Amino acid sequence: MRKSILIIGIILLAILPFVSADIPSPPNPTVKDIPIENHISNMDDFPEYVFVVYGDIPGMCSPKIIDEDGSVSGSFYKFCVISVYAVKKSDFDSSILTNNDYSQVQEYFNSSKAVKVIENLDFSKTVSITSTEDKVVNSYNISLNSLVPPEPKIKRDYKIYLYLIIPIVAILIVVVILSKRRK
Amino acid sequence: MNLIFAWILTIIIEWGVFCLFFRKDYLKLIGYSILINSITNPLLNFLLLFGINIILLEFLVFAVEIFLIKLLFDLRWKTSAILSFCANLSSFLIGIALGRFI
Repeated sequence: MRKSILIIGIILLAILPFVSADIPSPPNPTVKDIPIENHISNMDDFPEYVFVVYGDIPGMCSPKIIDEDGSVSGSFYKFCVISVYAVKKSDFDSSILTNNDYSQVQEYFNSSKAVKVIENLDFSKTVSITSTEDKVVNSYNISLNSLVPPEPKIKRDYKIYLYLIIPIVAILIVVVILSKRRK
Repeated sequence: MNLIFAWILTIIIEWGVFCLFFRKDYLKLIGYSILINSITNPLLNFLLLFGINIILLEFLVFAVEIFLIKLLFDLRWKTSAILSFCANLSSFLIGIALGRFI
């Protein structure tokens, strides 16, 4: 009886860290989130356009007009894939901002009226708790003819190989020590 | 830099625990602390990059260190487990405390 309770307890302990569903993760003491400020640097080059930031999940990521200073702000549901669209002022229908018919909104942004100029915008970044970075500023120089590629999610840092080389060297030294001891 | 800082800090803390436990051979103890933490600490930080739960990783480190302590110090399994537990709990708690102040 005791043994089976112990086994169930161990299984529960092993599973618990993975049970999170949609619950926010408990604070991780080794990392922190810092904001990303996205900014369009050449919005003045397109005076005849309105720029709208929009995610692709109906009802969760409503469209918003980007400020004239080019700063892309807003709070969106974590699973929204945020993009920036350019719409000619003559084609812009402001009712789209408050339209609750999500299929219409989606259709509008998929139509030729809206040109996607930036895709996969992030608004926060996770860094080590000891990092001195307190925010990231991403400046985008947009073009109506080409899509600005998303910011690389993972920047290659060759120091990462240290994480693997150091343990390998240490394991080799331990093996040498133990084999010498046996002799 | 963060990796090296965390690594050196863990070596020093666990060395302190080993010194309290054995109260002799301090030079040999720091050598073993360097070896043990050079295996577990970089791997822990590497796996943290993939978002693996810190508690689960600490549990894995605790298990691996029982094995390493048993081999290097030539102790019984139970004593190795106690020593590993004390060393890891100390480094984890001191790490959290320092993380809040730095």
